[in-house]
Amino acid sequence: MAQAPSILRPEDMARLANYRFAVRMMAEGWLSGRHRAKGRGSSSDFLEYRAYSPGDDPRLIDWRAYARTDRLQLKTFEHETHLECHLFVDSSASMGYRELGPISKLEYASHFAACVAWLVVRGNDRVSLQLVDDKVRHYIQPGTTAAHLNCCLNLLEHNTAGGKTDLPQALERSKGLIQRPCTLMIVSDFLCDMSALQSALNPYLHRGCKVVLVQVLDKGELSLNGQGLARFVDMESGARVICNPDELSRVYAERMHAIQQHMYAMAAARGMLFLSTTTDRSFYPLFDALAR
Amino acid sequence: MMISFDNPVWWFLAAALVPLLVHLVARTRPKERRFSSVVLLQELVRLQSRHARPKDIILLVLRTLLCLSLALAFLLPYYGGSREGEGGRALVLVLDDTASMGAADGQLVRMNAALSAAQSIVQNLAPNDRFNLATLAGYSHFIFDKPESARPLILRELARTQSRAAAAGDVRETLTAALTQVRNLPEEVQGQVLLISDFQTSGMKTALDALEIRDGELCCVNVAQTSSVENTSVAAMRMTPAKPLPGQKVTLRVELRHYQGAAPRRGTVPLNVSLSAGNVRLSHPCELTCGSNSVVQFELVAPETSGDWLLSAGIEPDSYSGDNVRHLVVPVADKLDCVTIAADRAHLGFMQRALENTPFLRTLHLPAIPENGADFVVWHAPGADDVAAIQRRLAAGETVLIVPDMQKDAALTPLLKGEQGYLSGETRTDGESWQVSKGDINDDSFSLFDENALAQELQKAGMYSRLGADIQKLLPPSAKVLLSYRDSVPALVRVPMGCSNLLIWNMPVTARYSRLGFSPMFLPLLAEQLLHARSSTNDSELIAGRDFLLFELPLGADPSIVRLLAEDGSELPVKSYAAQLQSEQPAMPGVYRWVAGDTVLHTVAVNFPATESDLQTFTPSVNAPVMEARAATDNSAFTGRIPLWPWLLASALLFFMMELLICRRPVVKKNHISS
Repeated sequence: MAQAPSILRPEDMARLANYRFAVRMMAEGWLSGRHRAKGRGSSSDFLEYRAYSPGDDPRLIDWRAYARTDRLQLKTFEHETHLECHLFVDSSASMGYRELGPISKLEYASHFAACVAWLVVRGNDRVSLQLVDDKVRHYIQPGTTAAHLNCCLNLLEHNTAGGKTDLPQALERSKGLIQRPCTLMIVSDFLCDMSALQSALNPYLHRGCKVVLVQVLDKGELSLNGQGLARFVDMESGARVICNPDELSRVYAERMHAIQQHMYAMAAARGMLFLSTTTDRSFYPLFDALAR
Repeated sequence: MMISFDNPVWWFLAAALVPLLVHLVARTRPKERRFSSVVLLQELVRLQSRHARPKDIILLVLRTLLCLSLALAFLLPYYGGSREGEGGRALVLVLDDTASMGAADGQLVRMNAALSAAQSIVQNLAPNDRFNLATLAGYSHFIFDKPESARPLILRELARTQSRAAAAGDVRETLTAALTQVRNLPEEVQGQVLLISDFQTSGMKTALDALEIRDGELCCVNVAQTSSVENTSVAAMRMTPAKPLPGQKVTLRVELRHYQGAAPRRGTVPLNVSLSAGNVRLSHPCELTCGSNSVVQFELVAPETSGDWLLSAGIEPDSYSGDNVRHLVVPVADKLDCVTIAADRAHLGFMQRALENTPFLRTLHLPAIPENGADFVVWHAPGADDVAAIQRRLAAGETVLIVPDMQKDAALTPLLKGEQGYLSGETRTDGESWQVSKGDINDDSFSLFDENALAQELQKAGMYSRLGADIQKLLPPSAKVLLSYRDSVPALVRVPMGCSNLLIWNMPVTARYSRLGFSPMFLPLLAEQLLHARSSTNDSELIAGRDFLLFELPLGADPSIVRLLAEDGSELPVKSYAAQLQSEQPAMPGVYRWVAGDTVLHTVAVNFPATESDLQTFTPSVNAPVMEARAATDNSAFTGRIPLWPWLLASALLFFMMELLICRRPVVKKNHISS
């Protein structure tokens, strides 16, 4: 494996060495791999017995079972296939926000995405990377080589925040780039219209994609901090709001909590996985959650 | 009618901008913070501003109104009244400052209530409204000849005015003059007389009843809180005789009076009457029945030297103390002046000779009545033309002894009856005579005489001429018949008239008609009758606040060395009129002395006016509104001006309370916003 860029830190690789990127569903690839697929395949793992029907491959008949039961039974095995992970990293201007955390949300998301990409490539699976804001800024096609990983890491390392957040539109645009069922991992702050996001994710869900939503927030976004009157300037639109954080902090925190609960509920209802973290916390627990 | 301001400091209204300036100055410049997305903040701010912004605006408006109300209240606005610059009103203040106004009525002295009401009314009128001020005590006078725009001067005069221990002057004349001033104003000026008084019954009632008042010309402000105030006074001092001789025994009668208050009470008031007469100090306890008079009598001996004898009687001071002390100056003279008047001296006969031989008399025979008064006037055969002169003499306190014309008297009928008429005389020609006997045997004038000796002498005299029985019909009930004939025709009569006595001597004394003139009893009888007929009244005393102190300079005296000293030794200014000196100001109660060097020439006592002791008041029933002092002060009912500053202060308080309520209002539930 080629030497990782600085965005993929050695301590992260050491910590994640024992992790294996997998999701809690069967993959649907076209190459043989380590991941369970929906269909029956030629792996060594026994799946089930099935009654023979004309046209079945006679090589699959379990003759010993025929000897015992005098019925033709087909012995089927699990199908193992490869995994294709599409990483969406929100690179809008709001991801450049940093207040209480040690790093900005974009840096945090990039680190996390790099680790995911490294885990995927290390498992001989395919990973693609899309840097999106209101459009797809950069797209790296799925690949499984070290060079491909290196390319992804370089892109993440030199990524900068900019542009307006329009995740639904970006998903809409990248719909043509993803043809098969795969795993979608969207790393974003999700400060966008949730109903539009839900609509944008519907095609992927219907196509059988596994969607993982990873929300990255700064701790200062969960609860407003500061005293006295402040003029808040939107990092994307430049809109200004004058308010007193003291007066709004409680309402704001409750509102943010409600939004997160709403996203959890929405994800659970549609079979998605929603993970939320802040930049002041380690992202290793996210991998634990992914592995469960 | 409009809103006007007494204190037009308009720039003070800028205080209303204070909250706005504070808001602008104190507004903090917001600190700029870059934030990931303000969509949520915008939503929350929009939700919260629905409550916050109206609250802020309301608070700013309330604070502005609060400051504006306070600033307006400082400008002393009022509604109604005459507008400044028009001078549309004229007010003639007639202020009662007589002695009764010094009474403590409730918790306020009447004078203080009156001054407070007057000042309030004057202040509530516009500065260029016209004013005039008159006081009632003593000689009332107006500050101006007609109402003038001089409010500060009127206020200054009111501040200097105080109750004077003086009786009211001519109230009717003063009010008439005030009404005349109001009636003479130009048509566009609305004039009114404001009478501020306690409406004491004895000083005001008669004058008000006699006034003719048109609608709106007079407004009465009654400062008396109660209908009457309890009071005890030394009402009068009376000495008999009024002009004693040195060393003579005299009787001093001190009259005390108790006036009931608003709540009459029964029982008696214990008093201790103290008398100071020269070096003599006497005290006499007594009990005065509530609501009645009482007389305390002192027997004294006049000083051995002639001069003014000052007597002072007092009781314990009460709340209205001016009338608890009274002074009496009694002239003690070793010679009394007697003037005899007769057209023909021969007719006066033996009486004239007896008068000249009387040791205490200084007799002067004149053909007609003199200008200067005397103690006695012996008038022989006065005619009908002399009646007026006799009445004047009697009114001046002189004792007049009339020896009527025994043939036909024309003076007694008009003098005693008040109508023209004659009395016919009688003369006995039958050789018999009319015998005279004592009438009122208890009269003091006979105390020197032995009864039998006097009767024998009178019997010896035997009268042959007299006025007939018709004289008896003329005598008033108060007449005292001292000697009478056996047929009841009065021979010697003492008739009290005015403040003195009239003696009718219906007895001939000449040798032709009787032997009385030769009797050894004749001279003492005549002298005693004169002495006991002397005036015993002090009604002619000076009236406080109205009369001036006068002094007749002795012949050849230098007026520059004569000074007038008050009781405390201070010198009072006097004016000189030829041979007479007069004080520049009317005399107030007290004892005054005219001195030349160390010699006291004359002593004068001025007493508290007795009419002011009765503090009973009445409600005037005149064609004019009558209001209480408090109403005139507080409600500005007279001026028609409604002060607005109390309402503004109340508004300011209300705004403040509303601001507190809004600030303390509990915060709106956040759940409501979240939802």
